Amino acid sequence: MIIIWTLNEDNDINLLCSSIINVMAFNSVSDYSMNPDTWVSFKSGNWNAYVELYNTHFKILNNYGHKFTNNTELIEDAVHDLFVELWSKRTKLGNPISVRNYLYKSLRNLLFRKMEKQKRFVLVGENADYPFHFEASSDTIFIENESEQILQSKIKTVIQSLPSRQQEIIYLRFYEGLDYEEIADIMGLNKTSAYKLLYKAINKLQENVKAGDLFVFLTLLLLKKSSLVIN
Amino acid sequence: MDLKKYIGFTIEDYLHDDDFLRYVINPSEEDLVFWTRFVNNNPSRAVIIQSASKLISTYRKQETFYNEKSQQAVFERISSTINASKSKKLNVFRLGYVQKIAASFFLFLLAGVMFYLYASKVHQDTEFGHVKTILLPDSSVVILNGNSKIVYARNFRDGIREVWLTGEGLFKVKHINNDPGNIKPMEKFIVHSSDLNIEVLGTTFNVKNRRNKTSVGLISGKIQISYPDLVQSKTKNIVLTPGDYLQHGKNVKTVLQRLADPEKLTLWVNHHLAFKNPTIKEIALVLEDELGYQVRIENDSISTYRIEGEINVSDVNDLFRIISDTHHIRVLQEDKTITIKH
Repeated sequence: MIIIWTLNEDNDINLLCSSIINVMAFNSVSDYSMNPDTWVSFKSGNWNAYVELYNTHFKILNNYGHKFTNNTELIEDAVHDLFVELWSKRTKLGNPISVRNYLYKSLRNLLFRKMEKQKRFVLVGENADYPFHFEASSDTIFIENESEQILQSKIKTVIQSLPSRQQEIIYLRFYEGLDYEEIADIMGLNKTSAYKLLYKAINKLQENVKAGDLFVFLTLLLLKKSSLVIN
Repeated sequence: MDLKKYIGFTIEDYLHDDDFLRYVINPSEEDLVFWTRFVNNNPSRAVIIQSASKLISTYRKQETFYNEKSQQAVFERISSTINASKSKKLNVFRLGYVQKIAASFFLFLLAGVMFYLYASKVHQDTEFGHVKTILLPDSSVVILNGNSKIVYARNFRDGIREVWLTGEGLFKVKHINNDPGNIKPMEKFIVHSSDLNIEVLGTTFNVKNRRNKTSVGLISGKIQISYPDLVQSKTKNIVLTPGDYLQHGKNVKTVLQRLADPEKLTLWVNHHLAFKNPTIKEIALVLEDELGYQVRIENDSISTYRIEGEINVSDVNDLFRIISDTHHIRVLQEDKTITIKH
């Protein structure tokens, strides 16, 4: 009797441990880049690789999705659909140059479709374009000094005045660090239109965040730096 | 990277440059060496480079939405969806978008065709215990017995005259052929039952199509019987002469009899219940098929009892009395349910 009971307890502990490991795997902060073998092994039906694909991209996909809508449920639904589709179509998938970009593009399409559906029930304002909003709540972000604070609020105001598509291209360019080709692919544009769109956006950004704002900040910065260099 | 390339760059140029962007966002060792050297060699460009880089890095200070608290829950939802679809996918026939449109279009079309076919037909039927006389467009007459139905085309007169019958009907077909040696197909009159087809020129006959069996009795004229099912079509078509009585059905052998008095077949027209040497079972079937009774016979031996002679009554109660008198069995009636027992 006693021996059997001990064995059972061991099993329970093993189960407990493995479930803790599972939980930890989900909470671990993951890198953007993923081992390229993971994609290949996911396509061959490896469940662990699939889980890794999910865990590597969940956060950044949510972050990107959140630029289009504040509706968390909608984003989660789109992520759900995206990954269900990935698994069911895994054998038919190719090898994208960038897995992340491929996921961005797919999520974007899914999200747009969902938002389009919702539009039929919710009154949407005059903005016929899709929404894209620059994250406005900067209060919680650590900012070094006052001049940088001024610069940031200036940038924010300018970005928010841009049309949604320009806001998105600025985001993909300067937040995600993508080149024209990648941006064109995600946004479903050709390379020339992507360039034109980004050109317009940067031009407006540059025009509005005029030398004035930058130089106030920079002279302070440079004075500090040069004094550092002298010292 | 070319050092000279960047000499004349404006802030805007830097913002368009992939190599510069990488240096600001995620610099490699090589990037750091390159840009430090560039600024050292071109100190006048330092402000522009700083401005461009500050613009990018300030923009990048955005609040993030990683939604970590839902990461596991969403994954659990994903895996349960995958498991659910695994188990049902095998027998689900999936249609593409275009196929779906095509399918719904086809269904719509089909519904339309079916409605057209239905609307282009005349439906006539009778309730239990009712007899109805129907004048067809060619002035042929059909008398329908209870619980029976005929269907014919709205444009009945153009082309072959065809009638589909379930139940029992007495047909008096109008003769439109004047030259019996030369019968045109357009002059035919065809009655379809579930088991056989009756081709007619002009005549009177009784057709009874019940319980997957059809009985045809010819009173006057001449008719030809053919069989729609493939197996039976090997047997030759039969031409009936007045007094012939043919029975044919799915699980019944074809029987051809001679009737001494074929007019008796039509007695039901006047609400007469007529039988000749019937078994209790045969009477029960008529009560159920024509009058809508539920007949319960207590044991099988009773159903084989035969009543010798002819029965010709107009009231069901008379029929019940005859049955109970002949065989000393009881006929109990409760609404539409009849129980026959010792």
